Amino acid sequence: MSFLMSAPACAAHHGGGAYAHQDKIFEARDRVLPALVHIQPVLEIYRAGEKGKIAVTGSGVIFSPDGYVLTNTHVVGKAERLTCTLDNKEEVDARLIGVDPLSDLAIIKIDMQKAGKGVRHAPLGDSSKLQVGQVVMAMGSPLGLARSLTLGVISSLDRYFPESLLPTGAVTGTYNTWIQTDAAINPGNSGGPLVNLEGEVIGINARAIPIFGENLGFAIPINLAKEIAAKLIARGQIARSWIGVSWQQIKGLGEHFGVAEDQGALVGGVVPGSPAAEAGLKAGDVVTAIDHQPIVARYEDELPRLQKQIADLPIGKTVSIGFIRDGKSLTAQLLTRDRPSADASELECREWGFTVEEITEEVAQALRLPDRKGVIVSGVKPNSFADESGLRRNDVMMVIEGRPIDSLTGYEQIYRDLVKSKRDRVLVEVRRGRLRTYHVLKPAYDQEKAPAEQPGGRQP
Amino acid sequence: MRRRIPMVLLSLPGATIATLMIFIAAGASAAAAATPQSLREVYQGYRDNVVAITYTLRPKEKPTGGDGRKVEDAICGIIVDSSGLIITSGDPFPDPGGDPKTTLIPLEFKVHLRGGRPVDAEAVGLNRELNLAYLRLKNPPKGIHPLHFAENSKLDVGDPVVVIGLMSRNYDYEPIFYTGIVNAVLSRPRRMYSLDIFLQDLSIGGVVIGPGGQPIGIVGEDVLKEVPTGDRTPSNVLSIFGSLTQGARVGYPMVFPFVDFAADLTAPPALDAGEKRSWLGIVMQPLNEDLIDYWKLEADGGIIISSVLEGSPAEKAGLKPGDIIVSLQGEPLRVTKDEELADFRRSIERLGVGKQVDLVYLRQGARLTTSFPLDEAPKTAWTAEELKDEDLGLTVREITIDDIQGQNLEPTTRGVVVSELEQAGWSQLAGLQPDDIIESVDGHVIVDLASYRTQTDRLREDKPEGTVFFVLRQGETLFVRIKTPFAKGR
Repeated sequence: MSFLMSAPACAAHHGGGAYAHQDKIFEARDRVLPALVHIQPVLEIYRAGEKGKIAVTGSGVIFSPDGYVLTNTHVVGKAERLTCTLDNKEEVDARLIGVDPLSDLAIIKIDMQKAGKGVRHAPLGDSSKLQVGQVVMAMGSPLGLARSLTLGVISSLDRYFPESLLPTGAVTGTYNTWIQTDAAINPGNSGGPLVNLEGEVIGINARAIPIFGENLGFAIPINLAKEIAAKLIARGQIARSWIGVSWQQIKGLGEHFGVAEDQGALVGGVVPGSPAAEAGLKAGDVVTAIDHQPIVARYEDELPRLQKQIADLPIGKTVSIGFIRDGKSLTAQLLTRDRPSADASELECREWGFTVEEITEEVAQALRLPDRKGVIVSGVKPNSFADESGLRRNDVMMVIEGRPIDSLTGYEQIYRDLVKSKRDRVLVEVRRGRLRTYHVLKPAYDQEKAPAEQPGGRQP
Repeated sequence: MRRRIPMVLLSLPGATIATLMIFIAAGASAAAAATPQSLREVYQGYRDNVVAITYTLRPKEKPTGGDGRKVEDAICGIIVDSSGLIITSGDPFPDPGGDPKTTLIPLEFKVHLRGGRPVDAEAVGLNRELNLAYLRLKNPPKGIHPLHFAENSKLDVGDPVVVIGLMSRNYDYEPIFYTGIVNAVLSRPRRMYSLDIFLQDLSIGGVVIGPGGQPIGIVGEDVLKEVPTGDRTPSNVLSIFGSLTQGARVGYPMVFPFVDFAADLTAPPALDAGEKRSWLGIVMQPLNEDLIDYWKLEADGGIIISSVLEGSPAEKAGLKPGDIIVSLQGEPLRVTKDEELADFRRSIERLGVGKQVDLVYLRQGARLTTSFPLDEAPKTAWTAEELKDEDLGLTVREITIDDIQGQNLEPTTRGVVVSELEQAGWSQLAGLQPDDIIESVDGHVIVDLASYRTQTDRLREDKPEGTVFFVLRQGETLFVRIKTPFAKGR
């Protein structure tokens, strides 16, 4: 330390700041680097109407003696195979324990017996105690360069991004604000730890803004990760409570609704048929308490915390909701529900040249479908029979060959039947927005055509 | 200046004169025109009736920051009565329903009478079906000679004809004389004749003189419902004219016999008659060959109804999604491709408001007929009325059927649509986005432009520091607070 402190060249170049902590950096490094994991998953992807595979690179950190690894959903979600390279360069396979797209966190597990010499787990810190300007290190595999360490400071806490989408299309980032750092974070760093000088993991690196920006990296606070990790390890999934309100901050709008701006959160909209709608909540109501807990979202960066507060309510429980409408304080009872699953099962219809997805409640809401009947065309293979028939992405298949589709399972049965009988003319009835369209698929099967059934039918 | 696809056969006119001679020599009634002398008499007899018309094209609505595009062009016309009525091509006139900022409309018509100064004229009528327009001289000079068409305007294949058109501006619109023969008689969509002549641009609107030496019609442009591309262009066509005004409007030069437009000369159809587009109120899917085969239908094409719009003539007539229209006005439909849907739509638009439409459609295999009057089509996003709010820095317009369809809205949605936001204006800074639907302003429900105007007028009067809009954006609602420029100390 003294050596570096006294090195004028370093001091001149770096202002002495970070290098003043050289010993602490080494110590912190030694606590976390042996827990760093380079993850090379082979992901199952559905793209352009086909199911495919893709090899990606990400990072992770072992945080328990029995080999649990924290990483991102977008690194390991839907992985067919998970291969990890450890700090000692040993390669081990990992098992997927659970993913949580809404927080973009995931847990995988490696066999510590097979991990070899020198591999340890890293301690997790407390992200509520962080400060802007605090020195941090990012560890991971930027652009696949394993075991990289970069240094910087916390640039901002509570950075707010509205909900965004994972590569799979799932909504994410609903329940957290982000730790912003200028420690270099690049693609491949995802899932890796952000570490303080105590050698504790205080965040999971997940995002960067590479275009128009430099040194703009973002990590998920470790306190959220700890909570998610515990739930994923215990149950493999995360249950969240849902009431169906889209929230807005009160700042700037309080006066209009006749409320002080230090309390409450504004209801921007209510999902039809949701618990909030059933309780009679309306856009413009200012909610001040839920289940006797005060609610406040003065600024938009307080919205994720509010979302989490609601998500943490017991599911299927009647809670009281206090709100102000037209200057009057009112109370309503509201029955919380399980948040609609964002995870939709997908099926490749190889013989017909497209992929379909089940209609989750979330998708039904997003596409404004009247119900969840049918399946959604999630991709169409270019120049396939399906493409030629005019079938498009996001079409909802309602009826095939006169057989109504109720679910993905129902669809799969019909698909398998028709493929088995080598039906070479398949009439599909589709809902496209408010429209209903008809398409004839003309698949050519590999083997000889079965003459069993005469294709064709009556106009419905 | 027009877009033209010249075909080969440029040497044909010379050869036709010989052909013409032979035919004329053989035809008793045309004997008078059999010699070069008599051909010259025909030319001299009618050349003064054919006039050049120049005009300026300007955008219907002045675009922001400038006068917009301005184009000068010319067409050919025929003086048909002593009050100065002129029949000409409808080419300069745009199809109804375009974007007013980019749609060009013809203004400042000037008629170039032979040997005189240009005379001002105004458009008085438009026949969209025939693509013919009618102008009238504002102050007709004395002694103009109208042309009188022969009552019998029937021709047959092989009949010799003479066309008098004009040369281009470079040649001072000198009358030009063509001889040719009728090489096809068309019966659909109405009777007209094809000629074997390569006609120059300014011959559209020229006069056609029949074998008897009498004017029998006008060179019109049969506007194609579908623009031919590449290999689909019939090779026997001498020339195809595309309109300058309407780039996509392409037609073949044809002889339109007098009988087609005789009624127009006594009472030209109103200019704005075609402005009111008629509609059925359905969303369509073409009946392609695969579907025809699958359902084993006896049809060459048709239209599957994908959706029936609320309050539309189709709804009133009881048409339903899934019905397949196979015939319109007694003519079987041949629509099998997406790009052909526009033809059908145009046919419906051209029928006109109040006209009876006769449809044959299939429902669950049964062949049914229906006949009902067409209504006026509702406004589209392009033609919707707009309101510019300079104070808040945005332009709003009425909700149209396009918004309902495009944004998958409830048909009962009310409000106004944000069509434009001023760069760095108050509304843009507040986070308002294009296509947001404003449902209320400070809690006052907005149903249309009038209620938006009422509310924003109130703002101008009350001068609050801010206003709160309630908007619908991609199916979700939110409140947007907009700071206003009204507050003190601005």
